[in-house]
Amino acid sequence: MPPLPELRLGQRISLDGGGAASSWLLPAHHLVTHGVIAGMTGSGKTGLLTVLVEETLRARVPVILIDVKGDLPDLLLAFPSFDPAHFLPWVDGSLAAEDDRPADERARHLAAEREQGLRAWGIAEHELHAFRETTAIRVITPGSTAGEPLHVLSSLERRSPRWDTDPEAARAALAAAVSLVLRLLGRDPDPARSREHVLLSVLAERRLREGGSTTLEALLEDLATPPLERIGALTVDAFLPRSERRALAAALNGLLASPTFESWRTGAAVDVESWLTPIDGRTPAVIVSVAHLDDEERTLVLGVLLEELLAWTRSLPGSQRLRALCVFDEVYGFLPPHPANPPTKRPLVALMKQARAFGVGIVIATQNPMDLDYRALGNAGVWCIGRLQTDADRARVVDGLAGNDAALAHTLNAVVPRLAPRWFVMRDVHRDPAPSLLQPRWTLSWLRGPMTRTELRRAGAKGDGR
Amino acid sequence: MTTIDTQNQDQGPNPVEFPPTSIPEGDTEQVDVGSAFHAAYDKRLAEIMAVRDADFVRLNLDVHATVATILGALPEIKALRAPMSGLPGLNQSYVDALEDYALAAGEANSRYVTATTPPEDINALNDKAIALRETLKSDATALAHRGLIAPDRLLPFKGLVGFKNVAFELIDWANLLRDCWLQIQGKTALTAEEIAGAKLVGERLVRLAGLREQAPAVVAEVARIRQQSLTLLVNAYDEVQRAVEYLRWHEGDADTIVPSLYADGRGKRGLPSPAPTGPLPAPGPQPIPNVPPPNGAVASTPKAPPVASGLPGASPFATS
Repeated sequence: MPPLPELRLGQRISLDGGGAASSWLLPAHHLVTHGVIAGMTGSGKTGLLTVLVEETLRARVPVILIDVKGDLPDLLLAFPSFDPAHFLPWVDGSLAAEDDRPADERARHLAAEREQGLRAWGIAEHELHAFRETTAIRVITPGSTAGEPLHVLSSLERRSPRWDTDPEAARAALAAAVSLVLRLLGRDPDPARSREHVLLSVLAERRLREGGSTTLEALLEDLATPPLERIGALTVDAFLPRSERRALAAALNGLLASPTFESWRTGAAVDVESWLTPIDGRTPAVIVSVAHLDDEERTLVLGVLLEELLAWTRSLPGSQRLRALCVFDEVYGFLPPHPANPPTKRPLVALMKQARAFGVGIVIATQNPMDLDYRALGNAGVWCIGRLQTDADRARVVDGLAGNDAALAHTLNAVVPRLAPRWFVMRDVHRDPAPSLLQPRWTLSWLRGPMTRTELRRAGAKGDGR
Repeated sequence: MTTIDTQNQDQGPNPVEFPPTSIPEGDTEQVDVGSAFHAAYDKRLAEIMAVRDADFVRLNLDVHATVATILGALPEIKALRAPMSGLPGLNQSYVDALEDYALAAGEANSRYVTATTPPEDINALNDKAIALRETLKSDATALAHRGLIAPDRLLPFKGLVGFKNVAFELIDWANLLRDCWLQIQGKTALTAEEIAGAKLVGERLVRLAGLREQAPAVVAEVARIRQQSLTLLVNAYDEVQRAVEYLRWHEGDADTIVPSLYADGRGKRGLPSPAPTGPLPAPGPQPIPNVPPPNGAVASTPKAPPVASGLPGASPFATS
């Protein structure tokens, strides 16, 4: 068995800021108990997350990245060398507006700056090249053709073999897809409250179990002439009167006729298994970018995705090694405390409670730790806390980090608000219960900032930036 | 005494005197929604919201003590108002607004405390509201039997559960009994104080339920407003302290008129008040830790120029 890989995140010093620095080598398998990164805007969360992803990929572990802000596709800008020519097509819009130097001069400056920074961290050009050669980065954009489109309704319209092996997981994925359809129709998407959700789910499941077609067109027929007599204890007419079914069918038909809806139904199916399979020996990183969607669409699409991830995770044999990593940047609103319950919460909480046994790690980043469900914080084994200024946020993370250790809580309360950008209080409960300060290394990828749809197309048109 | 006009037109326009809307025992100051604190908060909210993040004062002050100190200093500050008006460069509006800022900061702090009160408190308050509702209902039913309250006025009360239902029903019961006070006064064990107190409990429960629904966005918002209001207050007090120090330079009693807000006399923007247990770096620019860069590069020394953020050897602590 090969040795357990370690992730070289940067350097560590003691919590008081003194003492000799040493490399922080995080054993990859420590991430199976998940990680939380918290810090205010500008604290360097995305940079640390990117380092974590890059190191995980270098350890040949595949990664799924959930991108809400639009800047994780910067992984495509991991150039294979310090050649300014790599930067030249991307310099526009990357520097301060007042920088009126010619583009080639700015590119040279950038390349030199990055070479200096990366060399200071002991990263040589051949390592950039190796990273590019051993990773395969995809950007998936549900509901848009800026990146790879995704058939978000594949759980509804395509029969999964999971119906034969794990019907509960298949049903959860179906419910998420039906919620998305209802949201796109402007109707109540709540599986527990919406009668339309129940009816559509029952009709679709019947078809999926029988192996028949489950396209939305087929569901339209079922709405007009239900193949069932009862839903639960009520007749179909009593459960949802004919007039309401007709209105639902008309709305569905309108959706089907809409050209924009087509983008939700094109592209590859949500298939975590194939996403995480190495391509020509290269380790995959799949970035699911939902930055272009509105809040509710994001929640529903990510609900579909996370249900699929959970179902895939449960299908794996047990493992103590890190088999895959899922990182979720800016998780605010997707894993809120009780009583809020967006579609992303159930699968995320389940993943953080159960994925450990299957070797799947979850890392979430947020600037609002107050907004996280306590079960997520409670299950995290790796904590990285950047500067936090509000008392409430600080109290939440200090409580989680220090527990009953009053002296440590005291120290953390003094240290956390004073941290400089790109410095974190880090604790790996598996290695050392006492936290230290972590300074992440420079990223191999050029963190240029959020990419526009046009830029995403440009990066994709070059074959994942190569 | 607070005077509340009766809404019962049959009883004529005679006002009924109710006791002041005092705070029921066990409740905290934020209950008093009609207070000067609340009014000052509303009045100064636009100024509070205009305070920028970059100007925030660190919350290393006890807000209650700060507000109390400043309110206590106000009479003597006001006595110096006339000579202050002649001081060039003094922000006169700060002097005039100081009382409002202090009251507003108190209110902002109360709202913060309410928003961050553990959820158990709302349950306790809900239990209290249910008990009060039962008391009012029981007495009102007896009064209706005696023909002192029209029975159909009791019909809308369903005894629903849920924080908001309980709260609004309690407020409605209190309003009903207050409306009928002329008829029922002296014929029930209920007192006007009890009715007013019940209404305040209902109002507080409504507020807590609303905050609970909207948290954590509300928590973030109230925390921010608290910091903004405290910043405004401290800046205004700074200004007044400078003016008093100038005016009372020869007497040397400025510290007694406008005492420091910091018990140990430290600066206003120093370290957070709890002293760390470990040997934390001193405030101000940090010495660069002796951090050897990877791969054997030359280590930084304390005399080296500051290392750029993100590079090995950069200070872990912000200098501002």
